[in-house]
Amino acid sequence: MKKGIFLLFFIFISLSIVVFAQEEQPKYNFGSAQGSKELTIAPNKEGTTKLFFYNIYGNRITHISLSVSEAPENWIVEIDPPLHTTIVKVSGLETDVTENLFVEPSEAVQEVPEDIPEGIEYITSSVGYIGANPVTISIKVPEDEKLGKVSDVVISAKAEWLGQGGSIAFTQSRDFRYIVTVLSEKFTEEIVPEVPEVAQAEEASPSAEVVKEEVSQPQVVEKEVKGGVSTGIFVGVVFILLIIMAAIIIFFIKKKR
Amino acid sequence: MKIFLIMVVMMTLAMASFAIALTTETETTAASVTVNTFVSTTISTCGATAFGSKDPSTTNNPVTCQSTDVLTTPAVSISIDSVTNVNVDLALKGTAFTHTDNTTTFAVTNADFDDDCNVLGLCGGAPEGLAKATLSTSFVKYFLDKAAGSANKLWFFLDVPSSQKAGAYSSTFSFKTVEQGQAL
Repeated sequence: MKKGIFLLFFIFISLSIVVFAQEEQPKYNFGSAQGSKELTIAPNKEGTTKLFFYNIYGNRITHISLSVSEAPENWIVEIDPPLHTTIVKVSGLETDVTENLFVEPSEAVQEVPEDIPEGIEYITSSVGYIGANPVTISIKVPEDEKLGKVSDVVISAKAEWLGQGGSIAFTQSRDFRYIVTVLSEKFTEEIVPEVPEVAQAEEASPSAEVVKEEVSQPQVVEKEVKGGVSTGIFVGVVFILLIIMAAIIIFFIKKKR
Repeated sequence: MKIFLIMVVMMTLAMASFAIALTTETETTAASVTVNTFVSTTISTCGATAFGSKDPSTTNNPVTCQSTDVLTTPAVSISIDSVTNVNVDLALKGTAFTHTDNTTTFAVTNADFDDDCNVLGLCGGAPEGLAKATLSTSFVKYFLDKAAGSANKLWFFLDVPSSQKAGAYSSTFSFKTVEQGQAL
């Protein structure tokens, strides 16, 4: 009896050791959410937008570094949090990691929790609410930038994971493109009338074709744009005019009699 | 009297038109919504991704933990997670295999990859999927138009150049996700 109990206990302990010894295989998740890809910024003004990073499918901390890979000359594009060095202990050994942020594994939830950790913002998704790490992208347009100019600003992200075994390390990359239109802050509307074309003919040589040069000189005229009248009011006015005409006609008919 | 009645009716209709116009004026305003773009990809491996100890001038050396005769165990699986709300293309590239002396290298173009293990003509007779490709130092698209929920598997094979210096070499393989059809 005692031997049986001891044997069962030994088997139970052995199985437990086997279960706990099997470490979960690593999963390296890189999740991102980008809002509006089109921005409008006035000259000498700064526009901001956010990128969100999350790690709801992985079981290793995702280390993310960001850079501005495309932007017009003289534009100031900044990323917050900026690139910095984080000290990380990997299996007891300290190592330096250069990154903008790190994202710890988490899970999507059905309700936003009451206590939200600092630096986390909950975003809605098709799988529930996700506690994501936000990154703010600030774009400043120079004062002398031409109105109407459309430019691309691209933020490149690289995700890395520490402690990868073997001779091959894996990383993930992703670009976030923004289409920025330079527009004045104040809304104005002006009607630009058509300008008559001025034709000029020049003879380059006797055998050459005559080339007509058209010069257009657009003129900008400020004009107040008025709104139209609704149909109901128009019909009412017509009715009143008809009544007045009928009254006049009746008056003259009676006068004749 | 009749004329008077007609005039009263017309006045009534006119006032009614004014009343309807004042109470049913319609205005239009622009409305828009931006749906956020969610992209999430997860890499899982068969284990420590390594090619083991190999001799120079050997070819098609598989990653040690990937299956070589069946499609069960790729070296790497890249999942397009369910939160993703766009179709994506997957591209990959690699860095040169670098010796621990940080000086000696051999080109990453010695590494091939495939979405199945058919490179060695084995793989249990499974039909060929995508063609085998060679890693390069620039991103090249391989999996195209993948939707959320897809698991994209890769087998890797390495040629060891002849007369390659002995020692341990390492490389970094990078995956890039772009929205379907967009440039890298």
